[in-house]
Amino acid sequence: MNRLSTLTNGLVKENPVLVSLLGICPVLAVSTQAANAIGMGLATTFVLLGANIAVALLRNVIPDKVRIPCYIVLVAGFVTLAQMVTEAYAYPLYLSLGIFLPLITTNCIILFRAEIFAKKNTVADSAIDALGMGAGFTLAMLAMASIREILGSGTWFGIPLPVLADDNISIFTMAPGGFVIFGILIAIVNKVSKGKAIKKKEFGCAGCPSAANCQKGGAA
Amino acid sequence: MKKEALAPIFVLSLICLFVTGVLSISDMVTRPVIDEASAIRAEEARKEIMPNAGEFMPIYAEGFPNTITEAFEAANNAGYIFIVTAKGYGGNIVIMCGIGPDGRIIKTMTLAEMETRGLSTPVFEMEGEYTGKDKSLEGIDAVTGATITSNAYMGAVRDAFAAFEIVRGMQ
Repeated sequence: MNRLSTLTNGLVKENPVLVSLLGICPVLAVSTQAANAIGMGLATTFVLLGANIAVALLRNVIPDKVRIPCYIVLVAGFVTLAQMVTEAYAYPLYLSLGIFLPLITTNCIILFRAEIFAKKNTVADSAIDALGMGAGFTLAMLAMASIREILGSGTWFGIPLPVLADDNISIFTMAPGGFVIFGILIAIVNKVSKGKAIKKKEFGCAGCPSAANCQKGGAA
Repeated sequence: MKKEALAPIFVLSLICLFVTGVLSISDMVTRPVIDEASAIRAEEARKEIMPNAGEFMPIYAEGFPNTITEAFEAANNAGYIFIVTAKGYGGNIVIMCGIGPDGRIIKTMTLAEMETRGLSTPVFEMEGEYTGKDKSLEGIDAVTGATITSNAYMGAVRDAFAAFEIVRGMQ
């Protein structure tokens, strides 16, 4: 696999949010404002990058039996680091991410990439994979947050928009609106890719966009 | 067999130790910045309620409602500031309530809330109405559709008054 496709995989073909449907909890919760979505996306990308590099570096050292605890400790370390740095130097962002910042630890995208990619690939490839996945996550969050903020609050990045600001549809800022927009986005992705993104008939290993990577190293 | 069992323990412990080390270093770097910034924020918030109060001293008394998280007395007798954490609809509502020596509210201010956007917004927009009210809170109405939030806010202000009475009773 060449490096460009490793990078672009995360953007479209294996988009963690809209195709793999991973990390949905922060996506639904933090996507009420476009600015927060960018912040959450960057924080997650940072952790993803750190975790992927660390796991790839230690891939020959970590015994298979304790690999998940090892990954979690590494991920938690990066998350705590991100938390300290945002609290010290980007306090408004720290406030708006709230509980979802420490919860990046349990974001399944990170564990998924560690398990499926970083533990079988070189440090450089893993870093590229993390950047692609992080960008895909950030873009999906931004798309969702933009729709929700524009319709729900009548603003975009906090800037009031004409007409919409007077008649905002506040359900889009709440959880049900989040689910509706999320469902519509997945439907659009599936329609545009003519059903290739999520193959209905092939649920299971063969239909998974990550199948090639997953089976490369043999079943764990 | 024995070696197989020991290696994972050894590696995992080593990773844990290393991560702990890195984090304690980064904590040493960021802790002073965080503490300083939060002290400045707290001071600024108190100044916003009582701009001419000068220094504030933390106070505490037995019998404070347990919703009172912090209380301050202005050094020049300009009044008291209570930080109250009340249970709202979506989580905790943290307000700061300044009460003057005459028993009237100087100003109330919301520090944190997680209430439903839109529906609850009027509760926080009408904060100014509390200014000048005494403990009866006469004329303050709940906001339609946001009763729980309104009552939580009002309850927080009442708790501030309860603490105020205790402080006054001691002097």
